[in-house]
Amino acid sequence: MLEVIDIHKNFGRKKVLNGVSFTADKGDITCLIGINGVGKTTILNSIMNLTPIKKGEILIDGQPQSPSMYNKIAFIPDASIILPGMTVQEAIDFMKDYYSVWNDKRAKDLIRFFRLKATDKIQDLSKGNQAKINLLVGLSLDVDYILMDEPFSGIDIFTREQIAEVFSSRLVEDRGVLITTHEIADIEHLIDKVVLLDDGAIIKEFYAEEMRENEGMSVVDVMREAFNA
Amino acid sequence: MKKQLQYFIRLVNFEFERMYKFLLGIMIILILSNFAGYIIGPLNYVSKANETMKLESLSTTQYIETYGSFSLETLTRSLWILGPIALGIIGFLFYSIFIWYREWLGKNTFIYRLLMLPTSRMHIYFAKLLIIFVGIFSLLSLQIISLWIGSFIISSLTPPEFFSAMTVSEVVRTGIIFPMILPNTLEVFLGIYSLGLVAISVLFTIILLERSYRIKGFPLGIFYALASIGFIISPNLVSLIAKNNYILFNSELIIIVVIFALIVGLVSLLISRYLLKNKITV
Repeated sequence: MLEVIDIHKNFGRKKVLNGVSFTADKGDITCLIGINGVGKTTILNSIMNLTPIKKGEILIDGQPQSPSMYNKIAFIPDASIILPGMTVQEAIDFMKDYYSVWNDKRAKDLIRFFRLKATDKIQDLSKGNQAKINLLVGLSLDVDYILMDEPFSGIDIFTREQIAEVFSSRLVEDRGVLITTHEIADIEHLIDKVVLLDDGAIIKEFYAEEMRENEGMSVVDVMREAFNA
Repeated sequence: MKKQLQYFIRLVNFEFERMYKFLLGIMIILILSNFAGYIIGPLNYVSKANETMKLESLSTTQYIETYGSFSLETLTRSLWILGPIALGIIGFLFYSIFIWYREWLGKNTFIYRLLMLPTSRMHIYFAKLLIIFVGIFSLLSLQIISLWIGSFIISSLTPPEFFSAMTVSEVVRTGIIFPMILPNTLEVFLGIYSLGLVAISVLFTIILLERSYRIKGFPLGIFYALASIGFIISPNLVSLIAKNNYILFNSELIIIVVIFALIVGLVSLLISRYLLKNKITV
């Protein structure tokens, strides 16, 4: 289980996270939603120890953050993080060199699935294809948890469909997925748990299925109600 | 442990692959400049000597007595040799800054990938530190080889009556800059390169302070650098303030300065380790 316990974070005088606590379980797709600037990306960065928190604790299967956690948890950020001069194959080789949990067969399958070429240079790829590379690199790790930051941001509808397909595939089965997205409609039917954020704090936490069954509300309905939109 | 060492070696190799174009560029400039000097230097000297001897009606011996003979050492005082060395020093100083900032400010944000490697973040630090020294020593080695080849070119282009033969090792001992970049005793060599290592570790600390605390980190880094310099030169200042230069022997003073510098290096490493582990931001 991935546990975020009472985390606080400031950027200068601005409070970005104000006592955020939630858990994300293995086998569940947990979605962090909220309008821009509520701290969704900061939460993911904090879990990956890519930005320091002021107060609080983050545990991965009960263990505090350490370099070995990167063989247990993968992060797919909303930015291209592979060197632009590398080819797809070189990016794969780089990952293979460092991660004991790298799954080469899956990487090859994903190259085919995303219709990429191993010889393609990252810098020559479109934004959508660079996003696919990020997914390829993250999903080819045999990790227990996958964090994704806005995987649908700024990409065309076909790529979006391909990425959405990933969520219903065996690629994320049995893994804990924590995702932030604005494009909730694309994956609403796949989400297990929702954490609704506003002003750096959780305003609602619920299971999507229960919400649909008990209250007859979709995730988008809950969002609309919460933000009076 | 073995696995961690493998990760570190891979990181060093990876950093080398990213540096080689820069290193190759400086090496090409060094070779071109040096070889131009080996050819132009003796030709200029001979032409100037002939002109002066004609004008002042001097014999070869008189000319050499007044203006000196030509040797490899003469050439090492020229821009042909000093220029690429200065370029190398300035280049590697900038590269020490660039080696970190490119991870954040490059076309893609590679720092994400580096910080998420399942290995100690100090491996990234040491790989960058080591690669700078690999670059510096590669350049230094090339300079020595170039001087050795240059000595043959110069001797073949300079008329024997004007030529004063010197071995590369004599040139390295007597030039202006070579005794500093290639000291002839192991103690001085280690002392100078330890100071260089400390200087780069302080520079890395400034960069990591800025990358951790952004704009606030920069003055903090500058303060740290000034405090480090003050601490390292403080034994000299004590002698000056006490108005007694004989409180410590020079050899004792050097040992204390080196120890103080090593303390600064160690503190810089510890600060950098803390920042990379707990404070760095993508």
